[in-house]
Amino acid sequence: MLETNKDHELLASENEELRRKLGEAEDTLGAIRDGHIEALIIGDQVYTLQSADSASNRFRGEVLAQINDIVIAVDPDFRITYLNEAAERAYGVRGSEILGLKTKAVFDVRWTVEQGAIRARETLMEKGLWRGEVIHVRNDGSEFDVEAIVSKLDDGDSIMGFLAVIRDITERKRTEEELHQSRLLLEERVEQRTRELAETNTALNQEMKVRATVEKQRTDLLRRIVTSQEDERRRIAQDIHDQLGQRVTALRLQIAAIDEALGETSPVAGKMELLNRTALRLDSEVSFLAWALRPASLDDLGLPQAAKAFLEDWSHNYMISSEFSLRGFTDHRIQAEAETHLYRIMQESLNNVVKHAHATSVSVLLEWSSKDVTLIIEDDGVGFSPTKSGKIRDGQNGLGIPGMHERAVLIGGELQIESVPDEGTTVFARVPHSTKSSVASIDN
Amino acid sequence: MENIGMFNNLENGRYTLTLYVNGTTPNSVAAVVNVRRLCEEHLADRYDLEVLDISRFPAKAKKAQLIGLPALVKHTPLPVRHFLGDMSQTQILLKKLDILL
Repeated sequence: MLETNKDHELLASENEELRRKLGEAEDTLGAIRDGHIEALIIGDQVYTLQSADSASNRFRGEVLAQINDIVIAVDPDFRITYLNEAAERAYGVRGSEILGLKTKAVFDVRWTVEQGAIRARETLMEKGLWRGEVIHVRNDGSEFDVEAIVSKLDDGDSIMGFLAVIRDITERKRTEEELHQSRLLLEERVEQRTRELAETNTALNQEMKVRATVEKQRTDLLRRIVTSQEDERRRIAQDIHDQLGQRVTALRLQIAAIDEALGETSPVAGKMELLNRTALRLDSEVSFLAWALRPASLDDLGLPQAAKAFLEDWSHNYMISSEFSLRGFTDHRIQAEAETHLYRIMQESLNNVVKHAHATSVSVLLEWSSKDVTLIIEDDGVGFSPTKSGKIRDGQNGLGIPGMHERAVLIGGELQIESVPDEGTTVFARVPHSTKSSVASIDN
Repeated sequence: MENIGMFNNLENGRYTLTLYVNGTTPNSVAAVVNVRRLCEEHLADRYDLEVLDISRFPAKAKKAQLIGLPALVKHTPLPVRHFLGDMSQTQILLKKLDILL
């Protein structure tokens, strides 16, 4: 009886199990009928049941598998319903392992802006789309920068889920950072270079100031030398004129008186005549010497008169014809210092004519124009070539050109010399008549 | 590894489930999502779920004696139960798998 009961229970259990298996088989057939089964397994082979939908889905899947961006679809609860191969690679997961899980199981999102998550959710719900940059943290703790575009998927009434297209921008961020760093470096270098240039500039300015000071000192010294030279010349000229000149004149007059007293019949009449002429020439030369040293007329009558008188005397003395022209002058006077220097430049130029030019005529022009005074001394002598002049200029017995230049500079003017071999030489000196010394111009 | 877990579960009453899917086709994806949701909502902390992609491991389908995909197999607690097809109806699924709540 007990055994029979046991057998009965076993049979009932087997019956139940068979019924259940039959139920499972019926369910399977129903599922196949309803299209819920997408593959059949027969032996070792898996046969995918084809449909228009599955073909287009496969095509979509293959397309999505090809793209490098991460594509993840989630349902309204943020459970992953799809991810492509790029996503599997990026997060180091397999689709079958993580489908159905919430995204948190695959990656964490680190927001780089405050309230980022809240704002992103608001934007997504309001506009149906959110786009932004965040950091994704994988399960192993490693992280990467991403740019994400999340779209809301809905059928008009309810939300079906969300689709995220995520791009790894780590490389772009790194490049941006490198660019930023190199820009900073560049700016730093520009700043440093600017600083160096400023320092160099300061040093140059300092050097220029030192040079200007030295130049000022040199000019001051030159001026003192020239002034004392002029004073000395004036004093010597005065002495010659007052003492030697007067005595020579007295001597000449006495000789003339004796010559006259002796008469033409005197046995020494010839010698007296010679003595008389010699005394006359000596008197004349002493006068010329005194005047050449420092003509009183320069101080008393001004440059035009003194220059004209000197040229006439010089012409007579050396027997070289001359012409003096005066333009623009009425009763103008320039500063005494400028008059002296221009006068000396003319003297030096005429001295060069006597010594080197072998000229037959000389013309001197003195012109007063609106801004400056110009002195031109022109001869028809042998001239010189620039190379030769260079040699002469530096020599002991030179043309005195550096001296003439210095005089012009001392009164704020300039000096130019033009010369053509066998045609002659022209000296131009130009000084502003509101004469300021070169020292003053340096100070300004 | 999975077998050891399964044997332990025979004694401790945890659910051991394997879901067999066919790649990432829509039905398979829906099955994964639905089964995971079911597990988290009804079997929290007392289940082990393995998802096997048969398109990658066809031999496993033969071993499990399956006839179609997607398929869910409950290994423990006994008895072993199979379910094929639409897994979106949670209550039906729970009943078919003999899952006691």
